[in-house]
Amino acid sequence: MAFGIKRATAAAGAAIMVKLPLLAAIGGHFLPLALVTFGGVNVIIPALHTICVSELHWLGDEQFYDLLALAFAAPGPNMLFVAMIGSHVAGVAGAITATLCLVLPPVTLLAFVSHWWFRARPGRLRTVLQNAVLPATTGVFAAASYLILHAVIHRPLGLAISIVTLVVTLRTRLHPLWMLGLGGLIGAFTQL
Amino acid sequence: MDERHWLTLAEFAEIASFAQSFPGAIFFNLAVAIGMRERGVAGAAAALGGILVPAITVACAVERLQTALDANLLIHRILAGIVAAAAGLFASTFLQISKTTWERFRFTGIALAAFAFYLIVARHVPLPYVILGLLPLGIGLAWRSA
Repeated sequence: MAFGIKRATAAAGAAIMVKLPLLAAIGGHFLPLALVTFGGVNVIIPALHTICVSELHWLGDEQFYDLLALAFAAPGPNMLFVAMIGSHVAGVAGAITATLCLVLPPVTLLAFVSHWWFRARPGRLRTVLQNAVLPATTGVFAAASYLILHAVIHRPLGLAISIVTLVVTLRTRLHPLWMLGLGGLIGAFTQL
Repeated sequence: MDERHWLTLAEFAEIASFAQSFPGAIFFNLAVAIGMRERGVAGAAAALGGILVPAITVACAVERLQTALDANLLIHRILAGIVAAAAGLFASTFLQISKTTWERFRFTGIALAAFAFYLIVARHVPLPYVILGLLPLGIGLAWRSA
């Protein structure tokens, strides 16, 4: 019994060793993105596309967008997208590495600062910090919208779904999941 | 908050605004900020683990399933429809954030945003350089208007 466990551990260890270069590559590419994710995972989608599809060919264009759709539709934070890419590249270890690389740095920074922040309640500094990244984040969001629109723009019906979603989101308080579901339903019954 | 009475609404709002001004997903930041406030590092770690473990499990399961069903045309069509709707969501977020940038910084802010867009889309400059490179300008703008 003990021997069996030992062997299983050794096998798992060997599997990790084989994957080490891949895990290191995930870490090396994702860590620099961690501290610039102002506004969540959505702002790094163009960067992830460049790294994982164009440069390293970890996954194809279609699969990138399929996983993105799943990350939006699945329960849980959209940060799941990064875990899905990691899982695709190097299995569960890849998913854990990818997620931790993006989640831990900002969260550690926040944990260090939080104690002081809640006591000092810096008014002006907070406003400055919140506003300072606003212009750049706007540009990055434009790039993310452009990238995803680019993927659907050659299909008239796809573009129609995007425009209807845009109008509905701006005009109503309907939960985004409804529009994602409607998009999926239309996609299922048509040749998008 | 509603069930355990750990926080009041005002406290929650303050923590939320704090979590939002940091990089990273608001969801994780919020969990860690509340965890830190209630129970220190152990609380933060527990809060983070409580979200990460199920989230990563779901992500791996969904990814496996997608890879296994890759040849399935129907699933691919459904996902293409979802991506089309997601593009609309992104565009709406972009418009809303542009409005805020316009209200705070007028033309200077929009010009800076356009420059960031140009650097990423046309020049393929890596994102960290774009954000960190434009940060001093952003801080200058924000400081002047604060």
